[in-house]
Amino acid sequence: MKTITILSGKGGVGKSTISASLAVLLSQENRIVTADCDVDAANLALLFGIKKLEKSQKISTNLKAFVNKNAKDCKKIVDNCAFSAISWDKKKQLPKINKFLCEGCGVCLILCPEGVTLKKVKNASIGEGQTKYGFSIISGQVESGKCRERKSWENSA
Amino acid sequence: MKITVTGGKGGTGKSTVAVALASALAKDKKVLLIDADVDCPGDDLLLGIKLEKLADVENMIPVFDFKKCLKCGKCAQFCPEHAIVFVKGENPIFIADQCIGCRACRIVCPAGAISEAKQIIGEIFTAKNGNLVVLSGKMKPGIEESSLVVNAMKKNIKEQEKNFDYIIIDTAAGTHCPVIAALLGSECALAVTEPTPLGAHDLDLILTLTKKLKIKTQVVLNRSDIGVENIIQKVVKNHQTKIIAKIPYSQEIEKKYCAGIPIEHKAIEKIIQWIKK
Repeated sequence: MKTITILSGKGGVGKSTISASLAVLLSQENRIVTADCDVDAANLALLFGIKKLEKSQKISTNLKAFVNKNAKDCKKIVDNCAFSAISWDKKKQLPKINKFLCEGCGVCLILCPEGVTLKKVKNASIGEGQTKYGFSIISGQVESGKCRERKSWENSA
Repeated sequence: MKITVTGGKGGTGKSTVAVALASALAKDKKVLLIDADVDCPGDDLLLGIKLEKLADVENMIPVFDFKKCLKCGKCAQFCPEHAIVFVKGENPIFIADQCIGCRACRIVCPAGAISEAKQIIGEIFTAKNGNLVVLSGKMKPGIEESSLVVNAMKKNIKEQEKNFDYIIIDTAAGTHCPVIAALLGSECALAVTEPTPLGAHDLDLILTLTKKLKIKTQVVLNRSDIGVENIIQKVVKNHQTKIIAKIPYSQEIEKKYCAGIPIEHKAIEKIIQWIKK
């Protein structure tokens, strides 16, 4: 089996277009499968005329930290967050976690085991579809506002 | 005032619009243009200017003192990125490119065998062109967390922000970490798209994101005359926003793009009117 990756630094130059054409041509004499690893904005399926993928499975590639009221003595987690995702809520006298910035690294949990929980979040999905050209497509998509795209494509690949 | 230019799909004209907007505003205002497409920056090329290096972007990495190491494996166990590999009875092996600098290993090490060093993960460049100051970030190839460079740039300008009337931020394609990092803190955003099904699909994603971040977003339709506009109109309507400006496909624009000259078009004037409101 050969794996061919289509890539480029710049956007909009025709990566998906070339991928789709190559796939259709190769499929005439070979058994092939295509994978859309542009999980930020996956749209290779659209080029095969597929609007919605049939099988879609939610996956989790990311953890997020959540604080509870026991975190009131854990002001230190604010300065120890390498991603500036934690601030101090003066009103509530509790740390506050910005869910868009949290990387789920777990440092706050290590420093404040009573006040922080780390939960898996369903942040992505992997879909599968059958093209009219006789081969299938696997496509990964990270939900908007969620990070960890690398791990999502590792899963879809 | 901070305005972020984004769009979801690649190659729709984000940088073209950001550069044209910044240049037009800089005629009578002080403008800072931040090229936050740190994986593949190119605003300097579109402006035809030469950047000078301002600073390195550094990230914390652990340094192991194997004389103190108890070979307990805790560092590897707590590393969220699996950047530390541990085999029983051996010294931990560190994979620098995987490290995101969270310090979990140093905090959990019971022997104090881990200290901190810095690795360079990117660079920040700058240039000045009259009223326009450009700040451009560049990621070291192979490093994963490009949002760290975006955040470093934003930190770098924090104190100078008040010296500018407008800050224009040009994001990468896509809708995730580095784009979110660029968007946070903006008053409004422009989503640049093209009238194709792929443009519509990715526009839907980016408008969903800016809604979640509560950033008011208007749409700029590029190459507006070659494609199917109604599919974009549908997405725009669903998100209760508007196409604020249309830029048709023209050879003149393409020529300027290739020559590194910011485009001047009535669409850019329309955007400025909206911003000034």
